[in-house]
Amino acid sequence: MRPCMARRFVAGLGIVGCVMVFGGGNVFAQQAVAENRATTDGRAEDVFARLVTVRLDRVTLKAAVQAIASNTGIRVQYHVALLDAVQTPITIHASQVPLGKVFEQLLVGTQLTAVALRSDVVSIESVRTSGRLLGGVVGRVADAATKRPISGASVSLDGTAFRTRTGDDGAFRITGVGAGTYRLVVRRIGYQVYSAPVTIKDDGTETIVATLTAAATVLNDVVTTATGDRRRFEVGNAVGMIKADSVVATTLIRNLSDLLQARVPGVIVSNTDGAVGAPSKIRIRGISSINLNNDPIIIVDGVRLNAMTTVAPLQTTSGSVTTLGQLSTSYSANSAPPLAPSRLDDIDPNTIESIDVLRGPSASSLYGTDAANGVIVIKTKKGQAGAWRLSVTGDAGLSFVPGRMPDVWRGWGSVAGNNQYWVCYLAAGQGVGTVADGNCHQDSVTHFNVENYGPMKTLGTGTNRSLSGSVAGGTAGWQQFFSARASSNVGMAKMSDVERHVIAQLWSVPAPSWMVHPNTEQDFDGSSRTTVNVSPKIDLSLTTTGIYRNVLNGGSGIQDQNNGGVTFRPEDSLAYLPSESQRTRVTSAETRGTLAGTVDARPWGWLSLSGTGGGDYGLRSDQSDLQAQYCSALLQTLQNGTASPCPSGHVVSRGNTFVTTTNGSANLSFSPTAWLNLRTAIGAQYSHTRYYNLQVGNNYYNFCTLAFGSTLLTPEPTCVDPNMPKYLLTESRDEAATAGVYFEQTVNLFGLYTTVGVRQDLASAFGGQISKSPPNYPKFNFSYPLSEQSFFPKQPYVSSLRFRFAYGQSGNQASRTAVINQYYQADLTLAGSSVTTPGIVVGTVGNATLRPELGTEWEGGVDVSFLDNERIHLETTLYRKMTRNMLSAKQLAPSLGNYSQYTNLGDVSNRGVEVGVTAKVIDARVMSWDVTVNGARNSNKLVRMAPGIGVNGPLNTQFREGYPLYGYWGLPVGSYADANGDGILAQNEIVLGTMTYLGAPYPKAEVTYGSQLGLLDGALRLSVNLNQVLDKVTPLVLSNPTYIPRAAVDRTTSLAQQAAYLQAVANNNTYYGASSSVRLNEFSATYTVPISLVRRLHAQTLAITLAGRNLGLWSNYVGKDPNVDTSGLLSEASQDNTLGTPQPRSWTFRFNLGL
Amino acid sequence: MPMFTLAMRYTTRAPLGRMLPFLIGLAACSPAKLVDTQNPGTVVDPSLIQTAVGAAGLRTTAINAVMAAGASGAFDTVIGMSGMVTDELGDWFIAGASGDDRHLLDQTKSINANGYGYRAIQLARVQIRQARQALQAYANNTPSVPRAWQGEMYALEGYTVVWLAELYCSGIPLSSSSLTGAQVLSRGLTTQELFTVAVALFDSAATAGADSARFVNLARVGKARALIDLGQFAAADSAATGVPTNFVYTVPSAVSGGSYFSFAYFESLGYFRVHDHEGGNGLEWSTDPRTGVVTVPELTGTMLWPAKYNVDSATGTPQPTTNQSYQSFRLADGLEARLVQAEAALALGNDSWLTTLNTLRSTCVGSAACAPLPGLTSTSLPPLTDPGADTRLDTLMKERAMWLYLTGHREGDLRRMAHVYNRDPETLWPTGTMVDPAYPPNFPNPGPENGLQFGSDVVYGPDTHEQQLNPLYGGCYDVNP
Repeated sequence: MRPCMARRFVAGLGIVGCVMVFGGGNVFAQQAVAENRATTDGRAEDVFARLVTVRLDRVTLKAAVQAIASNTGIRVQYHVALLDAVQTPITIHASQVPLGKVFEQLLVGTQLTAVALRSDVVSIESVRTSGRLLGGVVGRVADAATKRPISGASVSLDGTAFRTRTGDDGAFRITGVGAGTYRLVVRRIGYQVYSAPVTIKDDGTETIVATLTAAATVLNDVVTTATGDRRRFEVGNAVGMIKADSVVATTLIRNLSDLLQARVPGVIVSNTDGAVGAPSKIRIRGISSINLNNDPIIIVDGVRLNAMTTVAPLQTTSGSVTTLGQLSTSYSANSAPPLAPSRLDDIDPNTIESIDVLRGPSASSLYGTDAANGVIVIKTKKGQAGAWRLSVTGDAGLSFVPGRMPDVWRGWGSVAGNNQYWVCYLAAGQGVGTVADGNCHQDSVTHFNVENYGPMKTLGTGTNRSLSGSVAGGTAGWQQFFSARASSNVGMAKMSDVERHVIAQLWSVPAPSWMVHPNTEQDFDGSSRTTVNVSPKIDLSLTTTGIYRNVLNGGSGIQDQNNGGVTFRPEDSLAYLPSESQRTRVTSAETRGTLAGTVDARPWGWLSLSGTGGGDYGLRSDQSDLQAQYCSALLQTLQNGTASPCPSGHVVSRGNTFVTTTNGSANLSFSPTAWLNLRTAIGAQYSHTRYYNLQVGNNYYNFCTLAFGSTLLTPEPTCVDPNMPKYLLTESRDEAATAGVYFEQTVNLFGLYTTVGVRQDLASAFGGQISKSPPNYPKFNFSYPLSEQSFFPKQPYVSSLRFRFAYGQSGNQASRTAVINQYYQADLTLAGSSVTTPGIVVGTVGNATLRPELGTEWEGGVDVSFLDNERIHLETTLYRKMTRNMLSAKQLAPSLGNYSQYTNLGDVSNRGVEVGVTAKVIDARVMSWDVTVNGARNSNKLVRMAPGIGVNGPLNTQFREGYPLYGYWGLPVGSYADANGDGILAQNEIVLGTMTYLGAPYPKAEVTYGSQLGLLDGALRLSVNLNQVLDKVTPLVLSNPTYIPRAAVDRTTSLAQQAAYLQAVANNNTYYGASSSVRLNEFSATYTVPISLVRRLHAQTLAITLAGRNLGLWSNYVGKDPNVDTSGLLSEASQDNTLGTPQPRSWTFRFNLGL
Repeated sequence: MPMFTLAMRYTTRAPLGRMLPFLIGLAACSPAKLVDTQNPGTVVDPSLIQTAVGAAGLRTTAINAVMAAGASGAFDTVIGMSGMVTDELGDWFIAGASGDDRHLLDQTKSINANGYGYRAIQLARVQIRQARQALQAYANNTPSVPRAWQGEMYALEGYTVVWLAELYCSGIPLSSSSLTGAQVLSRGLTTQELFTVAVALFDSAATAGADSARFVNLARVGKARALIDLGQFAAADSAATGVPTNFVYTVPSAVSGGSYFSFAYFESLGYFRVHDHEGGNGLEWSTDPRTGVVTVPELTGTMLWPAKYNVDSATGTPQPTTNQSYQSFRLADGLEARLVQAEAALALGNDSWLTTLNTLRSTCVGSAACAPLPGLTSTSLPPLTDPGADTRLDTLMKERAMWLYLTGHREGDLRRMAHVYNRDPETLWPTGTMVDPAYPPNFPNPGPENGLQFGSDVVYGPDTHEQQLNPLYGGCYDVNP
């Protein structure tokens, strides 16, 4: 035996020991390059540490060895026959890689090994030359994310005939392998190929745990279903995905509504107002119901949340206090009260990792009775094993009014017999006479809008500031994530300069800040997410969140058209006196806590169990405070003509919402053969929502002073008028629950995934007795990822291809009040009596035979990727959703007593197409360019309505068979001619047609265009997002002083414009023209600071972003903003948006620092 | 392969329908309880209705529903509707909506075709029925819930039927909706059938309310009213005989929590006015103290405002009527009983008619003996003399009109004059060219009705919702007076 003078390099394990080196002789070849001769000094194993650069393409092993020797100057000795026996072509590209690693790559799976003989000499030898015993490798394959075993995975030792397949528990075993270093390769559809070296010793068994990471392809995304996480290609329905983590990091996302807007085809997010804190309306694949909620349900980490966007307005003292969005309008009873903030927007978007949107019953069947409008499944960020990472993000930005507001036009003149100055309309309007009928002699035309005139502007510059941070880290057994956020937003609304001046003069003190900036929002959030891997078979996770959000939305700007109105006569200074609505401070504060806990257990490989429980508790506190101290006798005298007392009033409303969720499910899987996999899921789900509200207050006209202490009414209020009730106390409570069990069976047969399932539900609105034939919600879908099949030709053009089809049903339940006979308490205080008499009012008649609205949907689609690496990916989905048993409060014959009754009385159809395209136009290291186009078209139709049903909506909305819900109807322009040639189209010179369908309040189609450009090796990323909305009717109401068009007063306008105006006058003073728009929705530029600079700050990463939102709008809509809908939450019909604030144009600077 | 066995059991041996109850049982011992939620807090527990307290509560709101239908609104309540279509009130502001122009059957013009008033009356009728049913079923004769309340409910229901008969065309359904929600739709009843139903209800009221003279008298006056509408004068006289002249039944406003007396359109804008000699046939209201009409000075003239429902409690002076949440609405009184008797006497050829009228004129203005109209301080009016056979009826009807001004009787009176006494409607209702009453300077132009022609309708037409929603209802049988 020769002395131990060399060390064997074992791929992947480094130097493992001293081995015998066989002799050389002529059986060995040697390679040397003189000019690159290595030193002979030092240890032999140092040769493997030498950095080499190699680039070989499909060469033999021998050629590769020779090339390496030639390039590095070391000598390599080998037996020619050994190298010639290896025929597998070798491709290796390596730059400045240790030589040992290069040999590892070369020799894996060859039964050969490299041995360092000297610091410049390497020998390649057979591992079997000693005739050692055979060994083996056993192990388990699991999902890297879920830790769940993966069955049916192919396991092989690369380059050998050793291969097997994992069982249901993910386990595998390969035996009879000679000692040596091999490459273990694991393949499974939907996952990246796992490859790792493994050294098998003589008579030894290696144990390997292979964790597979989902392949970074669209089809392999993990999506959430009611029965657990699934690979997208296994699921037959389309799932909209938003990778929130990356979107939020580089885009100006103010809230969850922003995050959902224009990112998933078929999901329409409508803004109600541009004010801070204003809610948005989210509709998925159209609307299906007249009387029930069309909101999707929200699931966060498995727990249902109160995320209703359709919520009651803020309480006000008088019911006529305007929202901040209605700045340039009047203080009048026609003004809508401020809408309450959406509870969906309470959620901090910084804490979200991803959002899955299940768009309808075909996807949401197993969510049951409440899920017909779709399900938004939110996954929050979790901690990761490894070093703790601190991330700090700061935002600061400004928001502005986007352009000029439309002018209000006025014609001025005189009326015979009167010496006052009057408004003169051409042919029709709110005046005392018209030019056309000769009763008003017009002498001038003016146009004006308060918002276009500096001293009077009530929309200025808003600000937003936010600081958030997160800490994440942990060990293999415990991961933790903490986050916190504080943000402060100031809306564009402001008190006009003129008003501020007047107030300072009247009160001798400046107006309080809440009057000057009456629309603000503050958010404080904190969350914690803990994941504990109790054992390889049990994981626990616990999420807790605390939220405080306060929105001030009161004290509007210029008011009171009765005093002239600023657009009526600007010189009327009384218009700028602070009105009661301005002196009313309306706030809505939400204090909220959520808890979600999940246990995942995998007792056996074929069985996994999951249980989730949690709750969402919210306390909403609204206050509306009309403050007498911001009033004066002088002000009252100026406004009312007499020195009446300054009114005051106070309403407090406190509402609790408590949502609890309990889920339990079991998944069983079984793979009897390589071509068959069965998975069974059973589970139960329970959701319960309880709402309680208490409102206490007095009306301002009672001039009472209320003191709200801990018991609300201590001390007793005092009133100027002792006969007035001192306060009103209103209590309301509601409750809803669903409980369901489900079963789902998935069969993977030769790569064709077929799933059938059903959920049976009990729902509170329809009775709790199972004998009442609780509804069943079946589902069926199949997915066929054709490109994953072995027979699919490997070619460079189509990289993935999948066909899918899904069918499913889910429901929508009414309030319990729809089922029971309703009697309301209405205590009366009768004239002449000081005693309150208990009274009971008979309300609506219940209907015990109601069924839930039943949504039945089918969809089919194709997902296809072109070129390598999915350079172009296309998803197309066709769907049809039929909602039967549509519930509506059917009017009863008046002779029955003016009752209405909930009845299943109609069917609604939504059909459409959704297309999504992503393209990596340029995919180079120095530059990348991605383009995304998402488009959706929806056609809504009331298919059937029970005969004799008269259901009419607000304004000109109607419900007619064959037309969309909430369709607008009006009189079209038939013909017109200026018969007398006076240039004015009088009302008798136009002929209007019969009542005609004019359009719908929601768009027929929406297309989003996104472009992401990466420059400077990806350090600079530019992103643009445009949103196109097609054929949406946003009514434009003719109103003094908010909107009067030029055609109303100016005879120089065309007859066509005058005809359109007269048509609007005839149609409830409203334009109902369909409009289309393109909005430059988002722009962002993010620069990732080079690491060398960041480390000088002792940080890991630093990115700075400049993001803009709503930077441009191109539309044929002449109002403020076609996508603002001031009262749309309470009805699907858009309402007068002349009252609303347009969406602001915003710029924000952001930094993200990683430590 | 235990797993395989388990999976196959699910799919092959146990149908889903049999498994689900088992699974539900796993989820909870009593899954039905999981979703057995409470009724919303805004709703009274239905079981409360089945108690005396609940029945009493229903009665309270039923009475308030009479206020809602009778006087809580301008032109969509009994007082307003009766006043607008007749000569009691004039409208200068709302073209073709209030009924003032007598285009009552043109559903494109009359907002009453949409049934605001009709609904209110029917709602009151059904609520009264339900309250009576509750009283009968759940309230024994106790001091707090006397049996006589049942009689009151019968009587009030009778008045709602009389209203329907007097205001609307022939063919009004009286559907029913029980406390439990059971609904029975009705065909349209002719005007005569309606009055007959009302008479029966008043008879039931007198029986059930026998313990209360007040409710008995309420029933008597109502019955007398229905009977003269039927032309059954002797029976009407008999019904009214026992009613003392100082009897009065008022429906109070709810200061809070319910409907109250409201003539919103008499507010400062003054859309509705008292109109003397409206349409030529109209009476002169402003000069008779019984109407309580006041003259309000304006910059360019004067306006006539009804004031009888707004008497200053301190001075006793009538004020222009606006919203009066303290004001009661007089549904029936002894005055009307006497007036019915006077009319019956005239119709039956009894000279006592004039005596009766003069007695009222001499004793009932400002006298406690006649349940005086509040605020009318005159002690007497000069006696009437017999005008002769041709105009006796006009004299009597004018007396009724003045005594019962703005109480919802005028339309019934004119219809009776046409239907029972065969007068030409065009000599009763306003006709010719409409002339707006005086308008204030804030509205320099005449109102939209000025210069238009009165229509020829004399009754309110079919309710469009009733036509749409009641398959048994086909509209008016006739639109005769």
